[in-house]
Formats: sequence, C-alpha cells, structure tokens
Amino acid sequence: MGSIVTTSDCSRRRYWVAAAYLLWAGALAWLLITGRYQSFLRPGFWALLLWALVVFLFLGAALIWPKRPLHTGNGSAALWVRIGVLTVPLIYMFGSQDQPLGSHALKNRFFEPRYMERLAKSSPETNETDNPRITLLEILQNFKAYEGRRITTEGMVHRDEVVPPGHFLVFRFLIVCCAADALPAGALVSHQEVDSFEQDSWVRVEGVLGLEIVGDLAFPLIRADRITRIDPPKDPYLFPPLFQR
Amino acid sequence: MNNPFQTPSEFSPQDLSPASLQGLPRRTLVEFAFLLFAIAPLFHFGNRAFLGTFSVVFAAIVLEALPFLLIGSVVSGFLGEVAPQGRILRVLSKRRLRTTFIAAALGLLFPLCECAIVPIARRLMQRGVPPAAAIAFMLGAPIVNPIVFGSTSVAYGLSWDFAFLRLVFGYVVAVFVSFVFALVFRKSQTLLPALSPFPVYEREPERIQGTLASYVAKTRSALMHGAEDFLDMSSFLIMGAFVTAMVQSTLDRSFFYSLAGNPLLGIVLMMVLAVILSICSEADAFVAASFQLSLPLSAQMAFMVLGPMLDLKLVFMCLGVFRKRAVVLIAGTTFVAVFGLMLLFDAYVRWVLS
Repeated sequence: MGSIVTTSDCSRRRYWVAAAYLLWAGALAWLLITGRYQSFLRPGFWALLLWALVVFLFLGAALIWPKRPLHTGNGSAALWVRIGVLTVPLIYMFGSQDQPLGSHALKNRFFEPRYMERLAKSSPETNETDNPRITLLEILQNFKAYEGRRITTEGMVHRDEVVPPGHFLVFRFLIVCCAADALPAGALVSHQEVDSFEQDSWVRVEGVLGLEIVGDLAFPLIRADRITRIDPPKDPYLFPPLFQR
Repeated sequence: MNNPFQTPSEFSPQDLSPASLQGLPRRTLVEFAFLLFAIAPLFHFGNRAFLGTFSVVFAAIVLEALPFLLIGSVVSGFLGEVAPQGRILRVLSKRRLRTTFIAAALGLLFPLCECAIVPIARRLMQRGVPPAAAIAFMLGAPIVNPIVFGSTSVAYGLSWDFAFLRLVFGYVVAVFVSFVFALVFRKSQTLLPALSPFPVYEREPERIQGTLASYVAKTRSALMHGAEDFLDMSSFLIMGAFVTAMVQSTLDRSFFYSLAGNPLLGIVLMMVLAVILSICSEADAFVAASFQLSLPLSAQMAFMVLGPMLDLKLVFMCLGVFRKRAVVLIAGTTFVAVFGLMLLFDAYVRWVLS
C-alpha cells in the first residue's frame, strides 16, 4: 500500500483546484451576464451554463471547506498540468474576441445539398407585407412565398472561386445546439458594385428574390438595388426551432 | 495510469522541469505535451482565419459538454457516497449468466461517461467480479445511462425514441462482446499482473446517522468525489474537443457528402471518426447530430454507439488494466459488432422508408 495523503500535505493543492473551478464559474457568469455565450451556443442553453456555474461554485466551496485529502494523480506536477489543461478552453474562449464563424468556416462546411432541396419543396405562405425584412433561414424555409418579390435580408459577405463574377454570397450560420454543428444558409447577390464589399463584412441587402443554379446547387438569388454596410448584429447566428425537425 | 498513492509535495518550479517529468505517468506527459501544443498557436500570427474558426468551435464544444460532464461528476460523487456498493458487488460477484446482463445496464444506476468507467471496472474485478461482467459494465455504462439518454435527446431535438434506440444498441453490443470475451479468456489470461490498489481516503469522524451533521458531511464528501471526478475527466474532454475542433476547422465536409449515398462507407467512416475523435459519451450526440443532414441515421448511430466503447483514450486506459491480447479482442469484437448491427439498422430504416 502506498502512503495516505494527509491534510497538511495537500491543502494548498486543493485551493489551486478550487481556484480553477471558481475561475470557470466567473467565466460562465461573465458569458451569461454579457450574453456572449451566444457566440458559441444557442440562446436557450443559458440554463445549462447556469447549472454549470452553480456546480462549479459548489465544487469550489467543497474543495476549500473540508479537511479531506484530494487524490489527483501522482504529485503536484500532474495536478498543475491538469489545471493547465482545464484553463485552455478559457484562453481560446476569450481569445476569440466575440468573432463569429465566418468565411473560413463556410469553406469547410459549405452548403448542405438537402437544405437546398428544400427550396423547391417549401410551401408558399401568404405574406402580403411590402419589402418584408426576413432572415436567410426564412428564405430557405419559405422560398416560394417570397420568390419574385422584393425583400430585405442581412448577412456576411463571402466571395470565392465558386461564386460567379458580379456576385457575392450573403450568408449566416444556422445553429442547432452549438457552433460545432453550424451549417450555412445563404443567397447569391448580384449588384453592380459587389466588389466594394469586403469579405466577412456585414451588409443589408434589398432586392428581388429569384433562383440561380451554381454547379449542382440551386441558390436563392437577390437582384439587389441597394446594399448597405451594417454593424454585426447581437445574434450573429440563426437558430432553427428545436422542436421543428 | 495514475498512481494516487504517491505523497504529494507543494508546488515548486522544479515540478515541471524535464528531469521531474521523466518520472510522471504517461497520461500526465500526454497532457503536458497537449498543453504546450494547445498554447503554441496563441504565440504566432499565422492563419488568423483558421484560429478564429478553431477558437469558436473548440470553445463551443467544451461549453456544451461541460454541464453534462458536471452532472456526471456530481451524480457519481453522490452515488459513490450513498450507493449500497456492497449489495451491488455481491450480486455481480455471482458467476451466473445474468451477471453480465445486469452489469451492462448498471449505467442506469451509475451514470458515468467512459473516462470514469475503466478504473471502476478494474476495482470491480479486484473485488471479485468476473472480467466478462466488468467488461459488460465498462462498455455498456457510458451509453446505457440516463445522462447520455438526455443529451442524445436534446442533440436530436428531443427525439426520445432515437435516444432510446441508442441505449438498446449499446446494451446489445456490450453483452455480446462480454460473452465473446468470456468464451475466449480466463481471468488469469486477461488482467495485467500488477493492479494498483484503489485509493484510500483519510476517514472523517463517524457521525450519528440521520442528523443534520451527517447529511452535511455526506454532501460534502459527495461534492469532493465529484470535484475529483471532474478534474480527472475534464482533461480527456478538453483534449477530445481540441482534436475535434482541429478536424472541423481543416476537413472539407463536402468529402462526407460524396459518401452519403453509400451506407457501408458512411458507417465505416463515422466509426473511424468516433475512434479518432474520442469525444465524451455525454457530448458526442451533439457532434453526431451535426451530420444529420449529410449522412444516414445508421452512420450517425454507429458514431454514437462505438465512440463511448472504443476510442483512442479508452484503448490507452485499457492497456493499463488488461493484457494486450485482451485489449485487441475487446476492440476488434466491439468494432465488428457495431458495424454488423448498424448494417442491420440501416437495412431496417430503408425498409421502413420504402
């Protein structure tokens, strides 16, 4: 049998682990209070983070309070390495500087062919509003209702070798649970001055909605008569309803 | 494997010097290497677009999985403190066929993810539980448990039936592999000769049962267990999330679309991904769900059934408990069983849809 870890040996080690947990609790509180967690998760998941915050507080308190030893591997080096690993996500979380997924992520994911299939199948719904302001998700879900009509939508600018000359792609990411499952929704935009809009910049596009075939995919096409630069919205992502599958 | 019995000392800068690292267990060395690798990108100004995508995806996976890992840690802490362990051990130690069936479903009582299962399985075997039953528990518990059921349901838009199906498949594979194991090996052929003894805790003074002080003491102890479990498991989660984010930020998903029409290739691909990504069973459903428009259900299910039973970190952990031949048998049989089951599942889904 090995030696039993005594209280006096590891009291300071317990405090360091508690400090790491309380650091996480503070980070979660900050994400919740500022709403910045929505850069990573869908809005409804605040309850999960709140749960995590409370548990971190309890665990931290339990580590500070009792007089029992903590078993965490062999020696303080292992403990410090593990605490270091625990702080790595915090470094990246704050290093991301509130920057949402953009063109780089779009290139890796690109468009789901089956999302595009929905364009042809979406059922027409009556919406008599003139020039309605709609999201790219609404265009995907209810394309037929808006086809041939003047609409306004917002998104990020993307341009690459696949996008035809004289066009850019206006896109946003759809998130079911977190940024790891993000899928893009987008529409081609044709306009005389498309080249003046920078990659990943946010724009508001107004124009008539139609359809264009690019390669094997059918894309919504907005023949724009007005494009305006805008500030990034508070919620950069679009969130399809969880219960509507 | 860690040896929790070495007497700790207070931290000093020498603790992380190359000389002191030589005496560390392999896991700590891997974690240390990961720490250096993970921090390194922050000090150069290379592909900022990649770093931006990677940071968001990495943080998102961790944030999403963390609450579930905390649930698992806290529940396991309370179970460790209040569960009638003696009774369970007595039931499992009987060398009967039904022991395996019970062990594969024990995750319903002990909702732990795979990171915590291997040391517990080792302890069960030390206490006289047949290896086949311990393996049924080790393979089944990370899937057949209420937390995984809940997270799978949430990831698939509260699809309870799909989550239940995952539990059934996990149970079937766990029982099948443990039966094959029992047919091939005897106990003496499976375990490594030197098993580390289980941790001994410094006991607190006994209190009168039923008093407020005893409840407070038990709660405190349970939270301590939870804090230890979390610290132990979180590094696997973070390293898995890091690798996942790396793959997601570099791999072109259009590659997956080309396989979408071929169920066999899709299943194999997702099984390989499950092994490589090593995602916690309490969070892997969210990753599988991100493929729900690209790959058939059978391929997504293959990812969720195989991952908690067989991934890279589990293989390393098993090599610290079982002999290599036993690990090869467990891994090989699990892989084949999941593949066969998913082919049947795919055929059934196609039959229903047709």
